[in-house]
Amino acid sequence: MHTMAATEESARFADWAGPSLLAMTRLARRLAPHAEPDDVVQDALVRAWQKWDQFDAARGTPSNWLLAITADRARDARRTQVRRLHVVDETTQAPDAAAPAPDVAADLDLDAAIAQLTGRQRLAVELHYFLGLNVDETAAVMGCAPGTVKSTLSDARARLRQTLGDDDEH
Amino acid sequence: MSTDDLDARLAAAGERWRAANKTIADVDLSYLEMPAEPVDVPITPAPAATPRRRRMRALIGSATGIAAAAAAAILVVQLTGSGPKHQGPASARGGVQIVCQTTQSASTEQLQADSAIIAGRIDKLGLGGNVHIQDDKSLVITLPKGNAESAQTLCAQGRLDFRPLVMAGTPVSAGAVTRNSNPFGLLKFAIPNTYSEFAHLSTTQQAQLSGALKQLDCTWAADQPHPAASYSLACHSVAGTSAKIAYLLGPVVVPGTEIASATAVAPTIAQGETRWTVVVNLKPGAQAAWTKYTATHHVTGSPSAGPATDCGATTTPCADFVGVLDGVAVSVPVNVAGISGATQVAGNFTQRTATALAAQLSSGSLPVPLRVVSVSDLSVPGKLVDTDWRLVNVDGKASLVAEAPLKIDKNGQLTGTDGCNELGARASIKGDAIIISNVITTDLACVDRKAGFAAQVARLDKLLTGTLQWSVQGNELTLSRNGTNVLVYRAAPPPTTDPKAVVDVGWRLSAVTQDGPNSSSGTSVAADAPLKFDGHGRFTFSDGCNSGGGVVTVTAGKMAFSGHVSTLIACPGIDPVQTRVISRMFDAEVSWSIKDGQLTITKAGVGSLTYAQPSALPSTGSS
Repeated sequence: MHTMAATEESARFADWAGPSLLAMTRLARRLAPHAEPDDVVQDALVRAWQKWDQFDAARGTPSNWLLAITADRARDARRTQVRRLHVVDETTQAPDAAAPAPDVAADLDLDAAIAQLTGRQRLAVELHYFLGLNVDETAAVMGCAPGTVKSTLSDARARLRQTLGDDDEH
Repeated sequence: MSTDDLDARLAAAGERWRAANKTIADVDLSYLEMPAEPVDVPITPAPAATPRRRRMRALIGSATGIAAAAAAAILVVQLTGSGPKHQGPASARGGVQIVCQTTQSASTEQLQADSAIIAGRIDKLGLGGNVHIQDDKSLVITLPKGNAESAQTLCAQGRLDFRPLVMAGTPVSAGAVTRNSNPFGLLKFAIPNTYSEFAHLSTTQQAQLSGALKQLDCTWAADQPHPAASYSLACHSVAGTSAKIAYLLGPVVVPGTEIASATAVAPTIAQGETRWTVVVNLKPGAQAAWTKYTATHHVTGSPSAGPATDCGATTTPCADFVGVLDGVAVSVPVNVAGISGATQVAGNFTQRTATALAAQLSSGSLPVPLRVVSVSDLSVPGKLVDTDWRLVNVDGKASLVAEAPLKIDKNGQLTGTDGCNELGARASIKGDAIIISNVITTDLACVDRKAGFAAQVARLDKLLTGTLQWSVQGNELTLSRNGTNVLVYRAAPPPTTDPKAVVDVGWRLSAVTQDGPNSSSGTSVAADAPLKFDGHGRFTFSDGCNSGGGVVTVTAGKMAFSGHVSTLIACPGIDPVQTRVISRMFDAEVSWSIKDGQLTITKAGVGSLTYAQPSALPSTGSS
């Protein structure tokens, strides 16, 4: 009985979390580029499992709830895993399909500028532009009002313009 | 660049990035367990479920899975039979528990030798306790109630060397002069090893020696190694005052290892004696050498052979030799004649201190020095919840997964590790039972460090689920199953604020937190940013690009920085938050503590810097 129930429960959780895995992986990769995304996502799933009974479907989708946990775990991973040595795997950076090459350098500049944003600004940019969430979904993950997301994104763009503009003058 | 341009540029960059990143993390949820129904206490533990592993993994597009190796190591070891009955310290209820640790690495044989000597001391003091080896560096001593003050006596090295007196300083009251840790390092001539070498120095040089003795930091001197063949520095407390006298002493005449036995002797009041003494019997060979030495070194015999000229001054005791116990001068006797039999060691002894010294000396000195880490009163019930527990014992054997943490918060959330992977679980406490359920672990590759390591990790995973009985005595948590003690945890020592702990460590920055409106924690620390304290009031640091240093006063829990100088190079690529916090940290007063080998320096309004202690750092030849 014991084993059966446990297995059914964990299978149910796996099925429930499965559709959000791609978004979770992407967020982990964006927010903690130097950590192993596998570890961050695994860690986030562990937390989610622990807190599963606190999930309230009335207040958001499973994906938004899981992304909020992933953001939290990625921040932790950034703190604890920074001293680990990493082999830069070029293939994970390379596009699956052929992408326009001239954009690569510009995107790297953009990534460097994004890395200098404050925590909330960066999270808003990553969720909205890089994970492709709309403003309402971004607000749900960040636990704030859509209006706040809009103003945070606007502040972030102002700061990015400044950073990118500074670089252009060199 | 207009707003729309940047919005479009970000959207396009995001789309390209998503197109390039369609691989799902390789994750694995194993070990999910939930009790099917409420569990009554006590129950017999359910047979451990075979871990059913459900792999959540999907690949989109044609990309291959990344870093599949992360989930490759699965530790599965079958352990049969129940563990041995553990005769742990928790069986001694209501006493005192003392934990002493080695200050250097020690072999099992050396630890056993220390343990045997401490057992002898317990016996000689008539305390009726016991001592056992807890792990590769700790001894645990359990004594009956009310013996907490014996900790120092039992764990002190207990080595009493006899050294000839070369020169005595003058008594200095506490705080009367600024103590320098090593004023002798500044002298430009060879430090005399004997009284005749001292007599050949110029008057100026003798005055410089005297000045250096006056400035000697007695605490520092006691902690230095005292090589038998060279001169040594030790201080003696003047009875009844806060004053101390520093001595310059010659090479060892009789080493402490030559003491055969020692007895505490009460003063003979009828003869006007007021203090207890310790009578020491030497081993035959050493006794012969000692008899020969003392025949020519006593007040009435041969004044020219010793500093008998110091005798007579009212404030300066006179002596021909000094008894040095673990770096502290305990006996500065006036030797009136040659010693052919037992040596009576006189000092500022009371009955208690004389008895303690005699017990130390007659049991022998410890081959490996120990320091007292904790003294706990086992009669005070400890706290199970919200205590930072560290694993010390599995099935009655020292833990191989040393110090694996375990914590249960007041919401019943259990966190910890099995020595390899992180554990999370729910814990419900019902009386003396604790029910651990919903155990899940991360699934990282683990390096099998020692023989039996994997087996112990697996055993731990198996034990930390289902129902256990718990008891907390003092700073120890014992978990048992079916009446057998299976796991013993000890409360993590509180953070250190001992100034000595920060000195001469090549600290390396591991985390940065910034206070204020842009507060952020865990800023990525990419560059190598060292910090070092030389123990003589100076510090050096770097932010990974600019380096600097200055003057620092380190006290318990506080540091006061001044005279901060730093290079000012523009450094692209260094994290700006890291640079900002570092540039503002080393000025005025900050708070600090060391926990789990990590130094954290905190300044209100600025943030905090956490430095790790690299285990094997190549020497960087600082200066």
